[in-house]
Amino acid sequence: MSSLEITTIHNSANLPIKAIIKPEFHQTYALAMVDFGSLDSTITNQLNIIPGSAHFLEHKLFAKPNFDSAEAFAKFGANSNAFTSYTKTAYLFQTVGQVANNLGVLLDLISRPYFTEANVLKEQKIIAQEIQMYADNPDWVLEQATLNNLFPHDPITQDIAGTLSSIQEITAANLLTIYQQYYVPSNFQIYLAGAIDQQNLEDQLAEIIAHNRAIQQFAQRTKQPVLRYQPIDYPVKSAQEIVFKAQRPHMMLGLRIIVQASLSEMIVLQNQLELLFGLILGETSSLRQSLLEQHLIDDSFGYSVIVERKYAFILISAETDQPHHLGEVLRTYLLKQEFMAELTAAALKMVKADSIGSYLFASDYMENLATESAELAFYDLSYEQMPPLINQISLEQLQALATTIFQADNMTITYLQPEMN
Amino acid sequence: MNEPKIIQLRPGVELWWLPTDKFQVFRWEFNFITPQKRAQTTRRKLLVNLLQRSSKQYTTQAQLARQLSLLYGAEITGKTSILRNLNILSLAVTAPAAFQTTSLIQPSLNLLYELVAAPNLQADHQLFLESAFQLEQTNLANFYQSLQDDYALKASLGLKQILASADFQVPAFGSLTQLHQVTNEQVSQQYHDLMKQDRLIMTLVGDPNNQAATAFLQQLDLMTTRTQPINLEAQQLLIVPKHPLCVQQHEPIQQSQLVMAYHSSIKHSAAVWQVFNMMLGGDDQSLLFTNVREQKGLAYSIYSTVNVFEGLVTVQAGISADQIETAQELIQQQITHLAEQEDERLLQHAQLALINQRLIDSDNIVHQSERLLLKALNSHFIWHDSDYAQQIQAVQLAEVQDLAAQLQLSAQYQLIGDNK
Repeated sequence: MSSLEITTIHNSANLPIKAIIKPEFHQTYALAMVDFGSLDSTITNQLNIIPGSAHFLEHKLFAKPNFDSAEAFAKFGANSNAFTSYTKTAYLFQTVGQVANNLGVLLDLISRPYFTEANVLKEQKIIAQEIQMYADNPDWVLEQATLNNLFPHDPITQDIAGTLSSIQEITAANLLTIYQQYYVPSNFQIYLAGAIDQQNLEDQLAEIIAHNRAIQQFAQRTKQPVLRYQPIDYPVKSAQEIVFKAQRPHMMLGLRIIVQASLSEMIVLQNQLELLFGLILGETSSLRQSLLEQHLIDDSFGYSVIVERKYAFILISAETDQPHHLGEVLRTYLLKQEFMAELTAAALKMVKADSIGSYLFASDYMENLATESAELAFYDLSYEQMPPLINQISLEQLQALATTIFQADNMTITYLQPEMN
Repeated sequence: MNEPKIIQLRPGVELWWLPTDKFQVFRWEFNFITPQKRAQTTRRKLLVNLLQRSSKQYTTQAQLARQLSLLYGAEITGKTSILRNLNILSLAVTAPAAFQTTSLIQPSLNLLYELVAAPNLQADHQLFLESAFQLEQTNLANFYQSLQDDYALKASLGLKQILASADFQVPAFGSLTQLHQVTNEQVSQQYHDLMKQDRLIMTLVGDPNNQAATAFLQQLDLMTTRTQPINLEAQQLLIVPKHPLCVQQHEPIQQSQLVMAYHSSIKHSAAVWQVFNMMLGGDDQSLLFTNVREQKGLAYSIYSTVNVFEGLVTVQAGISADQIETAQELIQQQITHLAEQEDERLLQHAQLALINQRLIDSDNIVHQSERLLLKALNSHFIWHDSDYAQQIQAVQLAEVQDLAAQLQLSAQYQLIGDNK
């Protein structure tokens, strides 16, 4: 593997800026990721975080007095974007050249909130359209229903964008309070990947910071944000039927993983789960082949392993003409541990090779390198540590994991039947 | 950027090779090329699905997946596409070039060739194994059904249906109507024709030290001489109506889709079209984004795309049903702005954005592979990034204004959401 060494970008503001230098590429990809996402909603005496606030803030932080940060990026030839997940919000740019100037725009973006009632009102309309776009998607509806049953009463079940009614309650004052609480340097990881001249970047960054008071003030902020680390402890609801406009029936099986682990151990768990599910339900597995041959599944079948902070869950989904039959087959397969024959040393070697290969592929994509590095940093891990971590996972560990996680009480199935016109 | 190496194996069979050491992976693609014919569109799609899923040696997906895993996650991708008068069936392997000191190129290439040259046929080598055929037929039918849940795609295809000429009415990925009539005999015949008659352009990105490339070429006995010349040619893909056509459909959904197509019968260079498109709706600085989305809050998703060969620009937006008329007016206003205003700032931004995007695309192995194919088919295709930049920089505002002024609305498709 080519070098994925992480270089610290020294700066007078002591902001946590790191780089993976790949001079063979034209582009530079950078993102500033904050440990604050949609599930950090709460009501306390000090703070009211309305569902959809993290996402709304992400949209609105681009607004500055008399300009939009996207314009500033564009002046330096960069395209920019942002995203919000359950536990993170990220602001990013992709550029050819002008790295220091664009990094300056990025730091200015996260340093300088400008929320007004007028710009909040305008954004409500745009986000309303975004919410309506997802609301017509049966896969999204299915996932929301499954999450609701897997984590009842937990903020993870709230749509990341909020609802049409919740976004109407968001005000400029709300957003500012949330910003002040969570957007602090200690809660950020800032990563670049691609063509970077370290010395040049540091020299130019020094000039930029020296002339930008907002960045200097941001760098001084030291609040301790309150984050939600683990789910609310409520029983999982076992099943649900929903009716929605769709061409075919769908099913989704959700499995909640109950853990007691440190944050870095969560990443080990994530990789163990990826290997385990790769063995028992991946494309190499006998069950999957059998389900294909029975026409119970097709290319729409898949699974996701999701680990964020101390939330861990699996979602297995398919479009199928026999959703109840498929649901029952999967449930039995997992609960009765009918997959044990798949857990062999040879098979593990094979899925490990596949998993390590994915890191080889990803090292050609600057977006992957920067994003994954930033995410791993929140768990005190680096990209380069991943292949050896995967290699160390043993068959015994996977067998032990398999005997503990598949419990009926942790499982839910959602069936989506097409609405009859 | 390196120049591609061209190796003519035999008439109608050639390799275009970019021996770069930039990437950790390499990519070899077989591109089988034939004139586009409507009746064959879905057959070819079904064929590529069959080829990428199993073979004589790896008779199930699971067996093939195990081999790919052992090659450190090598990926096999198959697709069909339509480029002007041509239908292109592509099958590629993208794989790590090496892991530690072990080269993975030769075994990955061998696997790809197994899929192409020794597919999952019955013992008489004529028809596909019936179980494999039915599996893929069902898979594809399910895929077509599921596409109906993607309303943005449905709207985009709806617009294309209004304008497409007969041979291009069916999209490259095929249709359920055609699929119902496709037989194993037809798909098998398609395979045998492909192996004997289709022009074959192979592309390779990587293997800078020729660890496997030329040796692999010598293995390709079954890629025999193809005598029929097959070339990229101008083709009328669209029938532009004399008066604008509008098709409206209703669905019980929340968000409506509006797709509008504008046409210019006067030829403009590809560079002018691309700059125009970037200014109109190509990114977050474009007129559609800033004025329709950011200023008016009418749409979360709004953008434009351009078909340079056909002289067509299409605008698509997801909006509320009660805002359709307003959106139509606003979209037209942006085109009028480009025709009448001297927006130098936006022109310069569009040029910079296009040039940078081109360089960013050069960092992507799939884009590099596609460029090799385009260059092989069209000697005028701009290979060097610097030449591309020059063409884009040469575009004058007056040319963009002329283009905008000549555009006429040809057709629109409205998918009205009745569910609030």
